[in-house]
Amino acid sequence: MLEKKNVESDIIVSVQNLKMYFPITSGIIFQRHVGDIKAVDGVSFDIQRGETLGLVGESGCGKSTTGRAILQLYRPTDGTVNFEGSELTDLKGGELRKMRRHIQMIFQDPYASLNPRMTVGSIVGEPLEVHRLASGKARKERVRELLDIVGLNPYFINRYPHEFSGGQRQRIGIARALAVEPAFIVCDEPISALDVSIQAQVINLLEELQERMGLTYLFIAHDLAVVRHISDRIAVMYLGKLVELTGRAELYAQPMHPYTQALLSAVPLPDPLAEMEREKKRVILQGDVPSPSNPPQGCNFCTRCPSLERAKQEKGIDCHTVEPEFREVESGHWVACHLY
Amino acid sequence: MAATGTTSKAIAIPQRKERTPLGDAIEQLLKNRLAVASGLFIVLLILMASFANFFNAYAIQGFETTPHDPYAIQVLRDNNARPGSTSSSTKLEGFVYWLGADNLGRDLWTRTLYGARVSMAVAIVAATVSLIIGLVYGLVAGYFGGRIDDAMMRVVDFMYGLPILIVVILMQVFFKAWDRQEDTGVIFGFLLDMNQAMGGVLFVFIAMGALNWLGMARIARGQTLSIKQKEFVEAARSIGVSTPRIIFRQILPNVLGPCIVFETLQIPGYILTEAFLSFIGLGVDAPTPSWGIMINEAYQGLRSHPHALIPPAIALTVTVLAFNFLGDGLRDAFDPRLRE
Repeated sequence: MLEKKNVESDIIVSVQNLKMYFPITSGIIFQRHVGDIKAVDGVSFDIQRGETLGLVGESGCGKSTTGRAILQLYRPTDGTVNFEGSELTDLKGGELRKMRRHIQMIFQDPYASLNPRMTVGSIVGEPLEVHRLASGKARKERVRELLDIVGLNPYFINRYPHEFSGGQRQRIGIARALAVEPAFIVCDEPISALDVSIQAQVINLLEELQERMGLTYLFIAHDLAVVRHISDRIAVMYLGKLVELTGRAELYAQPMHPYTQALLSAVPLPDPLAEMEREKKRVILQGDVPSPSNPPQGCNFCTRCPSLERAKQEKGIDCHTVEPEFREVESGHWVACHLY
Repeated sequence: MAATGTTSKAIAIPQRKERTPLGDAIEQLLKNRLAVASGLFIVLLILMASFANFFNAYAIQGFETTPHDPYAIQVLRDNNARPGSTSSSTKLEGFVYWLGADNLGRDLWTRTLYGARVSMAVAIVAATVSLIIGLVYGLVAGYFGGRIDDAMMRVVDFMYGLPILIVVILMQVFFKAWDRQEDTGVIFGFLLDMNQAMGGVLFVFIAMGALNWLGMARIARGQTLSIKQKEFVEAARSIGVSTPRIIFRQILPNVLGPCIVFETLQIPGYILTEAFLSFIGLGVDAPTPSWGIMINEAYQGLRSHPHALIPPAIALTVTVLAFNFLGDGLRDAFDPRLRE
């Protein structure tokens, strides 16, 4: 639907108009519904089999919520999530639990995502037990194998999470996700809690596993350099909506949306001379991100956009009133902006 | 594998023996001398209380006629006998009052030992019942949250508002009223027989078990609320673990520590409540010895025979201390983070 319209089977996950609103209530006994936090407000994208889709945006823009809503860890307010032909938003209870075998998640905080009261063996073995994939000796054998795959010594099987470093813990989390041989993994900022030296190791591990097992990733991050390294395509999110979605090279070479431009110009360069040169052209956004409980009228970026005047002059559109459509302006390059 | 550099297999890692969380906790507990001593004391006390008839002077001296039971009254001859004095009754010739006798001439050692039966039974049964009811109630309320939580905790608040002592007294009055009825039915009749056989202890159990889980439920709920926010619970859900399994396998072990400590600290309270109930005539039936009754009786005759106060008071104090030390030891043992 995005790039290869005629090859339907290539699309593994299709998200259409996904909305995740968290209700704001007030009152002590009778809870009145007074508004919504629009964490994700109408997001649509497809993920091709075997690719890595990077999802970037600043803190609180709804990246993680999108990932969790796709996994049905939060039940979406509206929209559809289609995974290999089955509609996840319609699944309930046991059916959904069975489906979870094929979709896994790697969590942000390796210190919180492992149960401190369980040994590595039971953490990694739990998905095998729940889905009845292996039991007894076979399970233990499989856990050792998984630990080996993620680069941990299989002898660690009887240790507790607190005995490991952050990078090792994240490997345990990856082993747990791999245990059920999923097709699709949501990586929710899997490296932002790690040291820089460890980040590279984990990224390399993820890439290697993708190659070996044909995995598909939705890679959520706020580190643009990392996303650039690992992603095939990149989606940029702002205040609950996608503003731009295109191939990696295209995005970095020719960012279209003013927000993407500002975001990319903020990435520091390791060369001080180039950095000085860039300093002159740097786009610095004014103000703060508006509250997702009360997003601005029209384009949700209009309160901070440096190109409002241009849009008015060139297209005669007032960004404060008209909401831009998220559409494909060039082949495979989707933007939500009136300028294009 | 490029990413496996950190855990080269050339480094010999000593293989640890098979470990379970419970096995580890026990191992850890055994390292805590104070807790082990307290545990041994409690076990010894329970054993001595269970086989109390083998642990008094009469049995040890090998007399076969009428064992010197805690009810044997030697009024006019041996009342208020000092510790170490010999019985002046011909029937009990040669019998030594190790700890003296009370105002009715009953051997204090024997009564203290038999009193441990009541106190230990109340401690164990009331603690177990309140731990189980309170834990399950609190876990369910905390995990499901929202309206279920509101409704369940309002019930707890309401029951907290009731003056517990008055409710217990009313329940006891109600139970005693059954006693006078002729046709009690099968279940009630069985309960009444049981109660009579147990010297009135059963109804104390029921009254205390029914009301003492409230605090436990609050602690368990509070703990659950904080634990369920942790990412590992979400990870378990993303794996496809069922709700009961999440509650009892993922959350319960993390909640158990504080609950056990809380419960151990409640035990002295149960012992004292039982003593108070017995004192006002609504607990254990009169001749049955319990430490509370003994302290109250001794208190009344403090001037004439102060020695009678010492055995039950020391027994009560040491037992309370032992439960406290054991509780602390258990808390440390169940928390892997506190291990060296």
